[in-house]
Amino acid sequence: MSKKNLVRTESLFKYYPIMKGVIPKVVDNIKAVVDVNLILHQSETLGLVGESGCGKSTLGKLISRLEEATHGKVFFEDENILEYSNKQIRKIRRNIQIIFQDPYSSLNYRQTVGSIIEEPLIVHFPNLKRSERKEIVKKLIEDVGLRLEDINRYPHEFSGGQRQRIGIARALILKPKLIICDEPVSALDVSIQAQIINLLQDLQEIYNLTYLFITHDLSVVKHISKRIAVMYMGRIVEIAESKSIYNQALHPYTKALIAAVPAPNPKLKIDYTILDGEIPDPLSLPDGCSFHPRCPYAFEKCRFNTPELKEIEPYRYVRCFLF
Amino acid sequence: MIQKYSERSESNPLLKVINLKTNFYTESGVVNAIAEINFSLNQGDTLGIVGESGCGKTVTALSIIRLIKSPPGKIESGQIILEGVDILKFSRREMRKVRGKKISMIFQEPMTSLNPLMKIGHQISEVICLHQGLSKAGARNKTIEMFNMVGIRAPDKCFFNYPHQMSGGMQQRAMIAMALSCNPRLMIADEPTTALDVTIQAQILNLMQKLQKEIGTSILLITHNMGVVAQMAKNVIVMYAGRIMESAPVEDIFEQPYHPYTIGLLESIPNLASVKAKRRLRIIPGNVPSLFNLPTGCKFSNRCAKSYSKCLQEEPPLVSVSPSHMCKCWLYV
Repeated sequence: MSKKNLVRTESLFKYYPIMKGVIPKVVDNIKAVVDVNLILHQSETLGLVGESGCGKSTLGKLISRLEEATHGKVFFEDENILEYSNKQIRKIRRNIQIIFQDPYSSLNYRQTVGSIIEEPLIVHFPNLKRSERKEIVKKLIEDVGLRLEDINRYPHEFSGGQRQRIGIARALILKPKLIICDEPVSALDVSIQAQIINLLQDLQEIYNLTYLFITHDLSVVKHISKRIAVMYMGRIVEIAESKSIYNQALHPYTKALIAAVPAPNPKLKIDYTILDGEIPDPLSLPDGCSFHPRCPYAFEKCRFNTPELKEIEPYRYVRCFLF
Repeated sequence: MIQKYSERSESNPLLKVINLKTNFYTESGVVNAIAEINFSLNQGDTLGIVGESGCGKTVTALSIIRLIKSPPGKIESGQIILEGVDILKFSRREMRKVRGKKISMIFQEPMTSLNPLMKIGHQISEVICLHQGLSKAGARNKTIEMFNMVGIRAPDKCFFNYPHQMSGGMQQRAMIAMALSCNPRLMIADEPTTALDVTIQAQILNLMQKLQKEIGTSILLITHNMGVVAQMAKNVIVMYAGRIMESAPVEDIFEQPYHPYTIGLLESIPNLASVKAKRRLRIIPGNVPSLFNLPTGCKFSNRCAKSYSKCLQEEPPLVSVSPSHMCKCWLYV
């Protein structure tokens, strides 16, 4: 089965400069995203997983151009969108949308639900009549599990899960090709998480969506994604199919991450001999492989050289000198 | 020296909560946050309280340690029997001697729970001086001993750090050090790892289990994470809308849950270890009810696939479905 590339990043970097001094000078950089080459296939869900500070949210923002990359290219349907003018970016926003983590701060509390959802239509399709917009909103509202009466209510009248549905409707109204989901269920109760996960999967089928699903929750990402990319300190360290990530993880960090997840099964206790140490300070990254100080398999080469992300099988990548 | 508690007795539990009821008097009306709950905890054990937002698990913890802000909160009735004494009858002064010494607590977000203006070493020494009457130097030594115990590296340097200079995992270790510094019989941990990365969470859970073995402290662990409960708890209580819906030993809760809510909760969690890829998660329809607007009868009835007429009219009692397994559901009465 041929997979069409919807998005392809090429040597993507994002550095945040640290300025010091009375006359501000750049003294150092926080290397948030380092040399990322990632491919998203049409209609698939790619999970992007990692712990705090790994750069996953930043990567999502670079792809949607909410943040400007320091270096590199982002190809959307074979065109480098980082070179787009402001006018062109506006057009691309119809195709790349975002769902945010916090259902409380991501909605304007002064706008009604209907107004929040129809706003993208006003911006991108100014020739639509008011009645036409209302019709489009009405059709969508039920798709996301809300009711028609909810259109005239305000965000504060809804629970977290319902607000997330509003955010999803807002992202969906322009019928985008790609939706970047930045921790969309992390702030929700467990039973509501399940509802939203099911909803996202159903909508993907109905609207033929491609998802970049960013999360720290391995169980959720394995359930919803076809492939998973694991990030550590700004770099992708492994990409694999989600069905093989649990038993056949290759990178020592991925193995440790999976081993650290407490299973909802009292007979499966965590093996605590896994991971020691703290996530390093991004301003003082270790030399060589940034994971080597915490790696049980580290050897001499790892201390001085950074391994490349190698494709060891079709669509299976790992960044480690063991391979 | 750290003293280990070795006496245990099933008939003489460390903590016995009897008919505890806590209300909140708000502008929009009275909210019954906990409705007459009963449970007990034996010395050296870990009891997990699980539930979603608004179920009353944090209010239960705060009621036991008497940190409910009054007003608007009020512990209306019940008994909290700690080592045979009802501490609900204690004056504020007597309770201050209990907090930090007999019962201590660690909170969810260490960054917001620690005093940002005070060096971390001093925050812990303060507790030690207050409860153990040691000198400043003595308290400092004890603090460094505790830092070693919780795995904080370079403890004599860390003593002089401010919380913001430490990572989340280190802050939580410091909070655990503070909580255990006076050898409490009971430690209440309210979502202690929710704000931490998963690898750091594993370290903290490991630490808590290790310390429990060494010191013999009992733990009341509050969490919404079923994985954490499976790792840590000996017994589990499932709460919903201020009520205990099910309570059982941890293996029974996972292998043979009785209450439809517990079953629904377990089915809605994606399981990392599951070999078969589930296309869809089984969900509990609807939302957690507002405590201002609870359904009559069983509080879970409006979301329950198994509810029938009796469930809508009358609240079921908590009954035994097997030895040490209780369930609040008309299906089993």
